[in-house]
Amino acid sequence: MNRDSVADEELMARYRDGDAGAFEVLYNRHRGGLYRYLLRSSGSAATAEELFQDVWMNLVRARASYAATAKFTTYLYRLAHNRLIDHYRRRPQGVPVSFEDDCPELDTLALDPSGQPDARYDTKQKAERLLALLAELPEAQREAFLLREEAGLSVEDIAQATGVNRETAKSRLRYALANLRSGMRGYL
Amino acid sequence: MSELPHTGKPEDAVADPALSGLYREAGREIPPSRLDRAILAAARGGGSERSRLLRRDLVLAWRLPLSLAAVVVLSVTLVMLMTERHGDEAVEALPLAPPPATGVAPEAAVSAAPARPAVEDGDVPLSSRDDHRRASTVPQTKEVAAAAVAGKRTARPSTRDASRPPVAQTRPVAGEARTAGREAEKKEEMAAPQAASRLEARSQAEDTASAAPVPAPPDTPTADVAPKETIRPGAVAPRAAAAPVGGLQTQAQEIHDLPPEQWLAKIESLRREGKAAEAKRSLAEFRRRYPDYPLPPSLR
Repeated sequence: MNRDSVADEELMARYRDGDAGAFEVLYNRHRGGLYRYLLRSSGSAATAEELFQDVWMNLVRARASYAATAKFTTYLYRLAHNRLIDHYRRRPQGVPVSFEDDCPELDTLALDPSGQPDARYDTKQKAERLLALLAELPEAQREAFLLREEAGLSVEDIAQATGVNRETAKSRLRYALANLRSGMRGYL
Repeated sequence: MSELPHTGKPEDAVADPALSGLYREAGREIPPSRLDRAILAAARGGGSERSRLLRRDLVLAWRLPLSLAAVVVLSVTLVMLMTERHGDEAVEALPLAPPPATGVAPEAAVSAAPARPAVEDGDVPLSSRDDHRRASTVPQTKEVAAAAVAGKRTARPSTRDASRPPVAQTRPVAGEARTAGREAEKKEEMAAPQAASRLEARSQAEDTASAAPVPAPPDTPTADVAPKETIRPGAVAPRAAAAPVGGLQTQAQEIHDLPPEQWLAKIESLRREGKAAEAKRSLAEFRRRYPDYPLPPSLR
């Protein structure tokens, strides 16, 4: 049976039972998305690498207690979210206010595209603009967008991974998209 | 490496395909390969760690039976050793038992058992017996007083050896002291307390044979002499009280204090002098005190 077609949960169960090859498949599936999620959430490559390694090490250590009660991706990004919150707590600024349950829906990007969009903007420049806008988003909105784009999580899964209710997760995602659209007006 | 495909969720109504497509065009950063190697190695190590855990479980499963077996073996060994030691002590305790002192005068009774305390040895443990000997009999008997002087020069190798010193090792030392002190005692007659004078005489005789104790005047009261000595009053009192018993007992006492060969010679001389009863008593005492000492054919 080709391991690439095996579900994440089954691979994790195999790894829990001692199959190191199953872990390698899992790792290759999620390494890029998880790394980018951490990179764009923390804004630092060094921090992202540290958090990335910690998340996978936590997964390795916790394999014995893994139970397929939820999607593996949700489980993995829940570990990543918790590690990210720990990282925020150690900063002098503390945890961003956008992670509070009452999502700051009125927060909008201060970015205002100056001048008229230029037709000469190519895809790379548009992508860079999008990443810049993403970096300016409130952390919670940015995380919701990243979980959607990098992990492919649904609103329900985002809520589960970030420990908030579904409406909060949906609101964060909706405002993130609205802010990005606003910033990319004329670029798309 | 296979990446997760982007899966939009149209049912969420919070999707923007244009933004999603543009985001996918943005950088596709990946973790450095050194992180990949480290994490995969750790994951494989986790597999070997699992086998280590399995081995540890096996060890833990056998730990209790092995511990119990070790405890049983140690306990049995300990019990066997203690049983063997108790057997040895019982054998040793037999010659240590004091002889019946019936029909013996207090002075003779004290001298008949020079190295033994007044209490029954079998009633107290071996170690406390030794302590008791050291504490109570040293100032009371001249035998032990000499042994105390000799004990400063001979270390006691063990409790067992100390409780029953070999005659060949201890007697010559005490005999030398006794021989040197005998001359001084004869000069003293019976005026001074015997234990005090002998103790002093023996201790000095071991150092210098010419250093005899200063004899006390015959009419010197015992009470005047006793405070001058370093011996406790309780140790002097029995001897002083036994002094007026008579010359016969004193003579017997002196015989008993002689070294074995001189004692036997004295017994033979008593026989020759016609003092058969005295010679018989002395021989009996000699046999009791030195049961293993070979007797000359004339005394057998």
